[in-house]
Amino acid sequence: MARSTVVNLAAGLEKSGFHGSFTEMRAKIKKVGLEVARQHAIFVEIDRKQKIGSVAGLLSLSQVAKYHHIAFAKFGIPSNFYGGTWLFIIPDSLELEAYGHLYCHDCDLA
Amino acid sequence: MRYYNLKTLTYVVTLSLMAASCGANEDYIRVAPSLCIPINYAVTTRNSALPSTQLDPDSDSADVSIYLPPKELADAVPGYLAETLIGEQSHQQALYVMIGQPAVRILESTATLATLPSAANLYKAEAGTIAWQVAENREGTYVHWGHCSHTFVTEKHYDCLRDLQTANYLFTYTIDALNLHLYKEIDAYLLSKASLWKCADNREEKL
Repeated sequence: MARSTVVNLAAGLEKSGFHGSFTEMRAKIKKVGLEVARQHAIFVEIDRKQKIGSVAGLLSLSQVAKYHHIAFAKFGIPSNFYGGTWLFIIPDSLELEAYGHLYCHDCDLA
Repeated sequence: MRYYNLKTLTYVVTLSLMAASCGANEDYIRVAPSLCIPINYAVTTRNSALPSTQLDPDSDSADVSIYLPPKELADAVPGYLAETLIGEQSHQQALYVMIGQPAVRILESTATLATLPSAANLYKAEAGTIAWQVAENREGTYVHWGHCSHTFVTEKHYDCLRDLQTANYLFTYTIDALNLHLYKEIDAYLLSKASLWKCADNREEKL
């Protein structure tokens, strides 16, 4: 999970009213990640079965956004937390410099 | 004379910009052919920031979804659980509704219909690996209802994507197994909302 994603999810969870310890936040973020992965699998399977779009089994940008929204909604994370930074006027690089290390110790840094 | 022409032009340009600006700030988003969804219920799903070269350019559905908050559903549909607790996992039960074009959804198999414990007239129509098709028994005829999938939170818990067809739309919404017995009431509520959201210039058209 990318650092920016982790930061976004942590901010989104706090927005939803979740205020856990570091360990609890980390565990919650993993649950959100697992739910996103499950929704991805569901969407791919239905897309393949129903032959949705131009290529069966291949999702569109819109579908990717939708399954993220569905997973986020379960945790009360607003849908606009998907697909970008939640601090709109601050560049991602500065944001990650400030917050990234707080949430992500084992993330892929690439 | 030239001064007055320039002044008039300035007024015209300013008024035009103001008019355009007002038009852009409408309080709804139009979804073809005739839905005007209030912006507080609309969720945009277009994200141009992501790379799209390896993705499907089409998805047969609109770039706008509907978000109905859990509390609104709980207030509107008696018995609806706004939040579920399965094992140690709590989930909010908002209604996230994707809007597509009407589509023929054929049952893949009716050979091994198994009843779903949560709703009396719904049946698991196939074994499926991740998402399995669900059929509805309408007076002896089985028709496509949607898809369900295990949540892996507990052994038996699952949630679903309900496909609700109308003349002009396919509404696909999320529903937890614990609310599944209320799907007809949820269908009706969603359709009543959608009827309210028909655009002013298309009030007479079917939903």
